Amino acid sequence: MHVELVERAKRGDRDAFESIAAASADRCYALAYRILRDPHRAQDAAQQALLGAWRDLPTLRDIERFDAWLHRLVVNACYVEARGERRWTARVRVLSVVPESEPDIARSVAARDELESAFRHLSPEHRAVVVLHHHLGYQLTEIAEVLGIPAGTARSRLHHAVRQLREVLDADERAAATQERPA
Amino acid sequence: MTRPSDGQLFDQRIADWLEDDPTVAPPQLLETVRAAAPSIAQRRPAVRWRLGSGPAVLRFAAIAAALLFVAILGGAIIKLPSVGPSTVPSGLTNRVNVPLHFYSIALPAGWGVTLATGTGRPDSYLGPEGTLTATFALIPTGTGQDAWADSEFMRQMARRGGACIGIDPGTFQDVRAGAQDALFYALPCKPELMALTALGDRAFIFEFSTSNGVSTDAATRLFKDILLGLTFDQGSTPAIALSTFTSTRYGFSIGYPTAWAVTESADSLAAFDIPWANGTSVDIVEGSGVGEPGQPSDGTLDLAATTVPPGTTVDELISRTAQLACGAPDSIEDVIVDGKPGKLLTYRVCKDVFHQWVVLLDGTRAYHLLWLNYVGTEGFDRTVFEDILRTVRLTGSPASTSSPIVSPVGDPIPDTLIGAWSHPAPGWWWFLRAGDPECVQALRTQADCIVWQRGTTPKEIGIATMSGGDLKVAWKSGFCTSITSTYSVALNGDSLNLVDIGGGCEGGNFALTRAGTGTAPTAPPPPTP
Repeated sequence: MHVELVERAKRGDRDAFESIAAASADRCYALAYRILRDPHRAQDAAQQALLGAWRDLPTLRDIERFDAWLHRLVVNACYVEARGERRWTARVRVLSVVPESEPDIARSVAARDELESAFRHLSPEHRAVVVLHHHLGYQLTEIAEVLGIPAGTARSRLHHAVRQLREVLDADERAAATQERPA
Repeated sequence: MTRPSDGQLFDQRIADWLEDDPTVAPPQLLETVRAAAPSIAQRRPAVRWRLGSGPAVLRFAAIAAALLFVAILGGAIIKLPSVGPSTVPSGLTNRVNVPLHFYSIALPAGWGVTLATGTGRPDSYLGPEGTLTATFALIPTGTGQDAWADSEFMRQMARRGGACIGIDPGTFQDVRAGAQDALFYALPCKPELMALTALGDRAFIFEFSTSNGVSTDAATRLFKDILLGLTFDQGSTPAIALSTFTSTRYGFSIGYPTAWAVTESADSLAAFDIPWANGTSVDIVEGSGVGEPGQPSDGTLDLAATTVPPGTTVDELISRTAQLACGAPDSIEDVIVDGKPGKLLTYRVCKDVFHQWVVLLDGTRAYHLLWLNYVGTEGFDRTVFEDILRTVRLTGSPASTSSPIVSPVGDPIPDTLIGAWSHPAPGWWWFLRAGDPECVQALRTQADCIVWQRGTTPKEIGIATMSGGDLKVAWKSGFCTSITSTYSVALNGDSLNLVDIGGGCEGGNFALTRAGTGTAPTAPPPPTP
């Protein structure tokens, strides 16, 4: 994000903030969707994060770290959405006139469904580290910085999240294999 | 059998799956934000005048702001003892006070500032000419400043690797860092400049990485100007505040930074188990991420002990644990902890974090004392860890700390499976009968066991039982540690097919051939116990 835009928005320039929001909306939504697995909640979380960014920008001390800070706001908004809580919100939703985007149906639907199902077993905190690491490519120390947790906690969450994904997938595959065995 | 690549494949599967998710936000998201933003007032930053609560960094920011305010008024009512220049080089108009690390720095206007929230982590300053980092360290008691500077320079060069290794620490120029003498290096191996200085036991490492297109001369002039503009607060360094943790499970006590959180182990570490920080067999003491001046705030102490077979050496212990987990260390040093000899292994990066790993041996009692932290904290962490190691007391090996012999749950594996099986990985699966010393020593079990890559590293071992015709392996070390895998068993002459049928961590089919039959080579001899 261009630091000049952030600096201007920080000083209250609404046009600058709109430019930031326009440039960041897709990224925020993509991150929120991957954590929440729900387009409407992802939209709400991304909105909350962007509006929170506008509200709290003057308190951001290091504008160079805007992107990481915004990611943190998105993740925190996802936690709130996932738990059905809303502290403050502008509950405005402009009705959609565009169909929701469809996933890439060329890929194996079955494999996607398995992962989708397994991923939903994870807590929002564990989902967040998986997405930050495997989608955004953050290293553990960067995840720790973004989430405001010790590096050891980030490492532990990632380890347990991946292990849990494996266990759920393995259990599903075992169940399928058992059904296919002759009696 | 390629377990690591299986893990990598699984990671890639996750990444691919996430990649397929939507990347474009619905247009109404932005419309909503645009519509709602005008009704939301921006929060203004507030100076916290009340001290005594809240994050330390905010308190220090408040102090810095207050001092700056007083200075601007020309009052100079409060004057901290400091060492600095009488004049700051022109052009360095942006002064940043860093009370956490006892210095202040003058920078060109517009430079970005990222101050570390924990003592020992580097402060970063970013400008068009390059990136400057400042790292604070404490010089260990008994080490002179010159000796520290030499060893620190060599450590820094080793960290950079390649052509940097072996540069003579005597190739410095004398410069000034504020009113202090400093050693200045223009590295011939990288476009970087470095300066080391020390006041008493406080040491400072300043590193400057030049941006592309910036000449060495211009960068050197700027870096030297910045060094000249430094001031160093002469306030006292608080002693490292340590509390004591006593491990009833493992029979030792150790100091840890006060205010860190302790999580005790839930079960015992087996002989050559790796003390993973995310496992349940280690005592964990963890920092919060925000510190007081001179106090460590980040990091993790990962502590455990175990009983190893008589005759086990420290080197063997290291090769079967630390090197299995982290590979070859960047350095190995002899240490004495509570009178017992051991080794301190330093890993600049292992599993994404900095490791200091002490392995101690007291007869058949082995101790693992690990310090983990962000990469780049080595200087400060080393000093703190040395302080902590001085507090360690090995109070003995309680009988309860040794894992009990575990009776098997399930049936023995058939005789036809016992022995070595070749896998094209390449490698060997060993099916060992109950009572084999390797099973007993490593697993504390009276059951059969399975070993992958017996006698080598990485070795993986687990308790093996039969249940309903399936083979169950409770892995105790290696990639699947703490996971029980279930395999269907199909034996056809000298061919054995194991199919992971769930509950495990690998998946897939392992096609094995009895050693010495068909095209399978003869198995290597078992290692000497």
